Amino acid sequence: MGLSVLTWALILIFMGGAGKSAMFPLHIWLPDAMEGPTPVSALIHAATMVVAGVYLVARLFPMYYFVEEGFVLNIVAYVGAFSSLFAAIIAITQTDIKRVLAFSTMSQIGYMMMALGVSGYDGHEGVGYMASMFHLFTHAMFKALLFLGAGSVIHAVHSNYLKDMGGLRKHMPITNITFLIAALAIAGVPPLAGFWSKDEILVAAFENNQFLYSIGILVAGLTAFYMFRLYFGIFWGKETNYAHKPKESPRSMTIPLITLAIFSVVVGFIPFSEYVTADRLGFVAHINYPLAATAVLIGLLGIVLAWIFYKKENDLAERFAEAFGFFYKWASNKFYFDELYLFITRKLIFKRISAPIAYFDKKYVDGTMEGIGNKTVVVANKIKGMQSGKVQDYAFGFISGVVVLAIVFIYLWTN
Amino acid sequence: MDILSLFVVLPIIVIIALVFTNNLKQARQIAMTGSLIQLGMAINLLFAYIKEESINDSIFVFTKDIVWFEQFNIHYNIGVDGISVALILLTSIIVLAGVFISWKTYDLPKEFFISLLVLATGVYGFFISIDLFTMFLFYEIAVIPMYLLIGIWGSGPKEYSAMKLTLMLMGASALLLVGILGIYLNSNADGGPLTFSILEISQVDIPFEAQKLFFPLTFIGFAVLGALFPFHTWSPDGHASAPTAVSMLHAGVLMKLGGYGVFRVAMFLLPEGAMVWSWFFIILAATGVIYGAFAAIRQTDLKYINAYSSVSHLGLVLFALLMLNKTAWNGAILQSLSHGFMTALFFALIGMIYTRTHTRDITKLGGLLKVIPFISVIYVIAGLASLGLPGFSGFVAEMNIFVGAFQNEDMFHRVLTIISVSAIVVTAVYILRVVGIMLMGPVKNESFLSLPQATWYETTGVLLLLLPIVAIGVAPLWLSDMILKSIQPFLQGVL
Repeated sequence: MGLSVLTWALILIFMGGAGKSAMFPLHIWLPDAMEGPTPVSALIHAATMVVAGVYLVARLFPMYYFVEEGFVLNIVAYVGAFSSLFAAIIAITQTDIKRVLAFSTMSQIGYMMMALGVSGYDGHEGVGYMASMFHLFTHAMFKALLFLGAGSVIHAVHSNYLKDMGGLRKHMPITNITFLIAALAIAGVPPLAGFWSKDEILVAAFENNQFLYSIGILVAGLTAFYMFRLYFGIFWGKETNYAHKPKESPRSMTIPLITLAIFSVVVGFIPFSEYVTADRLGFVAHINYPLAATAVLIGLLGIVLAWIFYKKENDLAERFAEAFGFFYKWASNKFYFDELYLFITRKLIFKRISAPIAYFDKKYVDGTMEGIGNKTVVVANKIKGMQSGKVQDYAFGFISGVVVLAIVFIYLWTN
Repeated sequence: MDILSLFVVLPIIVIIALVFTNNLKQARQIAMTGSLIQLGMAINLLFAYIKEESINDSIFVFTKDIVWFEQFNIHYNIGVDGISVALILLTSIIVLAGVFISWKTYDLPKEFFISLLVLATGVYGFFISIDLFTMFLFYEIAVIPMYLLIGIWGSGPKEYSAMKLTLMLMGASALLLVGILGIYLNSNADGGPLTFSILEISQVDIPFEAQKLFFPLTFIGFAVLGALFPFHTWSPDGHASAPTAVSMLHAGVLMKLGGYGVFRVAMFLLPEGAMVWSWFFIILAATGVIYGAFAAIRQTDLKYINAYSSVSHLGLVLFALLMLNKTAWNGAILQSLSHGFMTALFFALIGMIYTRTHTRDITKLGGLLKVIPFISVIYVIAGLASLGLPGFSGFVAEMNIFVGAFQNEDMFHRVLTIISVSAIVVTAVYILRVVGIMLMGPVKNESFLSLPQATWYETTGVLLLLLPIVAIGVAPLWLSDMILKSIQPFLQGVL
């Protein structure tokens, strides 16, 4: 396809990273990995494993930037932006709180990929690279906090589902406050950590690709909305009648929450751009006030919408879901990607490739070998009659042989 | 007695000692002691080789040459290089582990251990021979006891499987014999006496026409034992019917004879033939790699899964050998070793599961991790090693194979390499499928709740096999250096 080997190599490396970082369409493993215990989820989804793909692209960033004038980098940007929007839409429809967080993670990682994709290299041009790494860093804090907070809630109510929760703010004050801090941070409300890094990403997108910027700002709004849908759904909303009265988690669970909450507030003030940049030379980042204000406003709009929908028990959300009927169903079923994958693995690979091969092996490959064996037996059966044990037969054979040989020799002799 | 001949003589002494035993306890103790001494000898040989190799730069060291049958110039000619030393070590470990796993062979224990050791004698003899005829002789000695071992101590349609295995391997031997005689009859290009000595033949230019004719015979002759597609069908049936220790030795050691023979005889003595034919056999080997993997997905019998997995993994060995370069060859030898340990471990575990649950059908098993945790955990580890997780030997081997294969720059090699690489993903599918169905989930059968844990002899056998897998995976360099040095002289023919 007219691309150099190096370009293909970079595309393949990005695909590997995309699989690890749950980029569309290699994302389906991530929500299902939610079955793991919550601290493991926090580790996998927030801090370490899942961002390895972003890190991989960032490590090879000079290659991505200089080979074929950043052709592959464009792919990175669009895949990131699409994944981020795609996951944010699904997150709005999910009812399992850990799944909401999982799709939220996918969405935020899409953000990081997008930031890498739109980044330049020199000095302030490389703001996207810096922002991506910065967001990776701040996201780890508040996403780990959200997961551990969700774990604390699940521990208290023995359920993963939003329908079993509500009004928990009175029962679990510490979890409530820390969860709120994390939700504000991820929604990009200043001066929490998420605001600073997200703002830089949007600046980078705005300066390089206005279309991606518009997706980014839309996702910012959606993020704020689904995060506060979650927050209001768990801690406000309807008063659920609990079988066991939920109570605040023990100190072994609240201390990590408080610690992470402190980090979620303060890490945004680290002057990241002086340490981590594409060209290894620091620069001083400035706030672009119009862009920052837009982002904050969009975020607040999302929060307000969530407040209207979910703070008090009402049927607004249901009515909206009905209005969007088909689309809502499509999104809440994760756009049927799981089914597509199952179709490929079960129907195609297992039934259409693997089963015929196993059959072919038994029937034809082995059958041929069997056939050779059987033919030998058949031939043996045919000629075993010659060993009849009757002296007359042997004598007949013997004499006939002598006669035939005699004729042959005489014939040869006379010529 | 020299250090190498001992490897053939010691099993014979043990066999003689076994003849005078009269119960299981004595038989297994003698067999264990014998195998333990062999392991000690193999480790000693390794160190002796490393020392010798630094001062002696001939291809084979510890050589010995006795005229055996003068008329045909057949010699008892032995010697080793790094590759055979590594494979001898593999053999000694698997034989010892096999003896531990067969600790409770109640039927005819004496005869069982005797057959096992005859097989071991053949294998050791094969690895130390550097005379074609002696090599072929030991090759046959290794194959024959298999018939008895499967036919007598096997399970299921054992007579059928034993017959099938022996006939197919004998058929291959017939081809091989023609190939070896062909090499022999062309071994005097400069008018001297005909010879079977590998070293002498390697100095001779065998005519191109003869190479072209005899390479496929020699290659197929050996490669059938290495489960070359489409001559692999003896292997699933054979493994399924064989008793545990025999499956271990068979898949772990005997199938390695194929790859080793291809490398030592077909590639080394007929390099031009190899270059002419490689494209054809590469297609067969790559087909075997992907085909074996897909066929394994569909199986429900644990032993069949593992047998098809062996077809796939050993297909990679042949595939790598045919790539005709240093890195790939290094990978091929490492894969032989790695697959040897891994598959022996798998068969040992399958045997342990079978003796407890009396079934090998994964759909009837479930939740074993809850009831027999040790065995299950080791199974998971073996599975991860098999699918090439870094830190285990399989990764090192496959990495070398694919990097080496990719060094061939033309489209043909690249496409087939990519196809073969994709088999890794399929491997993950069939391994994790078994782990998911058999080890995880609910316990399907009430009677499984009271399964006994692994005994001391089972644990010992399993750990013996696990140790090298981890050792090669974590520190592959010393081994790979030793192999690379030994590969060097073999490369001259194909460059």
